[in-house]
Amino acid sequence: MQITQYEKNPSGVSGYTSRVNRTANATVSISSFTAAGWPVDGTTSHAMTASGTGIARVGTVNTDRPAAAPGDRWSLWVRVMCPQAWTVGVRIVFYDTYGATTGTELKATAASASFAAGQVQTLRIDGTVAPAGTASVEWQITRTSGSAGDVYYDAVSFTKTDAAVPFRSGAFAVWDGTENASTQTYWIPTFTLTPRPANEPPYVEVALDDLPPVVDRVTVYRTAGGREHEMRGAINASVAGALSRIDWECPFNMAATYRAEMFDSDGVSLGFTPAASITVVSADSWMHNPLDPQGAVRVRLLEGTAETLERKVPVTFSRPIGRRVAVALAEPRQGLTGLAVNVYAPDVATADRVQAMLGDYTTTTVPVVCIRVGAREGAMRIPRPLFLGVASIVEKDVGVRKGLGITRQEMVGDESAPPVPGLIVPLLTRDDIDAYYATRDDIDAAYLRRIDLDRDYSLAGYANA
Amino acid sequence: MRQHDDLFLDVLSGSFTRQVWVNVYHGSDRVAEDLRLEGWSLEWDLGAKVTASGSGTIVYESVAGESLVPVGTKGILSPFRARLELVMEISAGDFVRRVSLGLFRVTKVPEARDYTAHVNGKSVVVASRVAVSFLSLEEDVRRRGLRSDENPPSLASCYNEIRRLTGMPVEETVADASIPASTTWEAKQDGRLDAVKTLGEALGGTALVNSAGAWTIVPDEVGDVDGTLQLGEQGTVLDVGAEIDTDDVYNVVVGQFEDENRNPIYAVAVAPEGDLDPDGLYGENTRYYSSDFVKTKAQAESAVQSILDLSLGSRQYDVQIQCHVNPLVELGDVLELAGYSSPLVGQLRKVSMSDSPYMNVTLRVSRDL
Repeated sequence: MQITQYEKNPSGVSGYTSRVNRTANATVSISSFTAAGWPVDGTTSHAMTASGTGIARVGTVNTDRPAAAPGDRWSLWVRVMCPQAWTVGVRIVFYDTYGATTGTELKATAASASFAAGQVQTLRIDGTVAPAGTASVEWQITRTSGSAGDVYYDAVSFTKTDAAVPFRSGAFAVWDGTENASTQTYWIPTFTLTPRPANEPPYVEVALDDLPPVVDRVTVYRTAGGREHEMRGAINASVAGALSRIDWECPFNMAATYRAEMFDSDGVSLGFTPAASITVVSADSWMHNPLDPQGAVRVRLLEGTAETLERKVPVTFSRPIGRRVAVALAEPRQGLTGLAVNVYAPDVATADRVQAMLGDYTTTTVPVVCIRVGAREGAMRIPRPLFLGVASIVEKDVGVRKGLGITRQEMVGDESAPPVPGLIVPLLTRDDIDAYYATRDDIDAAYLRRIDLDRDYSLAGYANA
Repeated sequence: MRQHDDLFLDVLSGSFTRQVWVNVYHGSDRVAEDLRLEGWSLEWDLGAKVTASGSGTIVYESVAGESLVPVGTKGILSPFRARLELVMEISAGDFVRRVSLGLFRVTKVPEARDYTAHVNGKSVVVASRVAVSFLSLEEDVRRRGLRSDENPPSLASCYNEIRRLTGMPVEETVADASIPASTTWEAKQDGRLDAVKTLGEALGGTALVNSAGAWTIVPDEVGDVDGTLQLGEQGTVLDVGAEIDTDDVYNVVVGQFEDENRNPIYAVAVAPEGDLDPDGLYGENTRYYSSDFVKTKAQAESAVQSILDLSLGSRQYDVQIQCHVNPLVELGDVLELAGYSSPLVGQLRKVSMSDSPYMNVTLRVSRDL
């Protein structure tokens, strides 16, 4: 999500003095007035100088008014510092024209507060709806009555949102033009998670969008069942505003929460993105080698699987001189060891795919398999996902000799880290895109942005079709 | 001892969990952090020129197909650039502390291997195992020789001269002293390190690089007790060596010298009344001594007397102790062995740690004769 902040007058600093003076009773300037907690941000704030005792009001220069459409909801958030005990308000005003002339005022929504002398308050208006005929909108500051003098305001957040958004500065608030003389865009990175439970194997499309320009790299974390994993292919991944990946390792039938840590070009963390959750529903269990997710097989786990679960602690029980009881000198607890998994393979093709997970006579792979348990076997208390390092998968003949092709695949292994977690195993390849589109121009015509092309998984496998 | 609080000492005297991590630096850049070290060992010796040495195997799981195996002079763990920081983490429930064991220079990679797998038809590195040998940062100074004989530009301060010679930070632990006049640093193998060690002696101690990478002086004089190794109900000590060796405790020294005209000069020094009296229960243990520098009777008398004093004065002995690993102890710490049959206070001369939960320390203890 991107939020536009009208923090400063887009016409520039000099524009303040030429702001439309609605009552001919006030002027605007940039002030370096300071007090406790003031200014909110930076070293200067805006000063509205009332020239008389009546209503004083300042607003936006005509040409700086943002365009607005009927039905839009606009919100305002502003910090006000009033050195005297006056009543100060804010207004959102909708006009029919947009540009050089003032236009006709269609609707005004106001909020105000009484200030003690020297008090700082937040004034806000939440989601006022633009009426029919609206073409532009502006916000105003008013002082109802009092003597000649100053009212200060700062940290203005004027947004097209349902609720007022507190003003935010920092690396994610980016000036759209010249600093202090343009609108600001505040970037809120957003996850879009699309489950594909019908695919074989099921997966999640993970798209991370609206990353601020300052973000250079991201690491995506998936939390499910109380454990956090780094998402394959998104570890310190280089980004330019967006990231699109396929998560083949998302466990089934439980909420998986994704969030990303962002880093700038110096590798300094910029914090985490908002999180998003998803549940991939699958009745079946699936097993694959993390380095070859498309070689996945639908499996049924047989009796003997995960009958014993053991997680050891490497420990030495030491008995120093004079102690009556031993002292435990330990190392951190290990993951599952000696876990048995027995898989039913109904045909030879499935057996071949299971055996291929550990490599063959020509290819070398890492003997770690990812097992995701489906709803049918969902009661099993094994980690989700389970990464099991297995030295061998023993194939036992159940019905091959009789021509039925049924085998039982037995393995015993230790919980292991998934290999090369930063490596992307692509679903959509360059070849797919080249095969689908005849020319470069066709690609350009089909997609607005590069990232849209990258995540058009409907083309996956086209080159081999 | 390294920085700690009382709670930390409490944890170390009970049951706890430990881990060792390695951070890799190139200059001031931390290029890798929290690597795992397997089968490691680390040894400190106050008497050695380069006080600490160690070895281990770094096991690295590749994130995106990168390798840690050094190639030529390049690579994260290349002995041509890498410095390692070993960090021991001690935890017990919510209590977690990390202690830096020191900075080390990688001097040797005896063995390195990549493990590969096929991904999308390409061979990709999935893990690396790199064995490394490393030495403490005195090695930097040892390798950097003096190009010609040098005189200290100023004799005012030993510390300033150490700073000048090493270009490294210095922590002043004992009072500064001036450098003896007519000092010359020789341009020879290890000349620069020898110069620093000589300055350490002039300051009344041993110069070494501490775990923070700064030169410091461990005073010869045994000062206040820094820490305690406990025996008994709260103890961590598994074994105390109780060795007494009388081989080099001589109570009679016989000197045989020659004057300018090759006439023999004979001198004897005998231990005074007491337990070491040759007429007593210890009996006589004779040492013979000769020197070309002794040319008169008076010189001969004083020479044998000083040899006897040295022998009787060798009232220091080493006690080897095995105890639970304690990452806080440093060379030069004065440790008390509490709860032992007799009180024992000594200076830490040697420490060796490894991936075992125990460590061995050697204390130099003074005894009264």
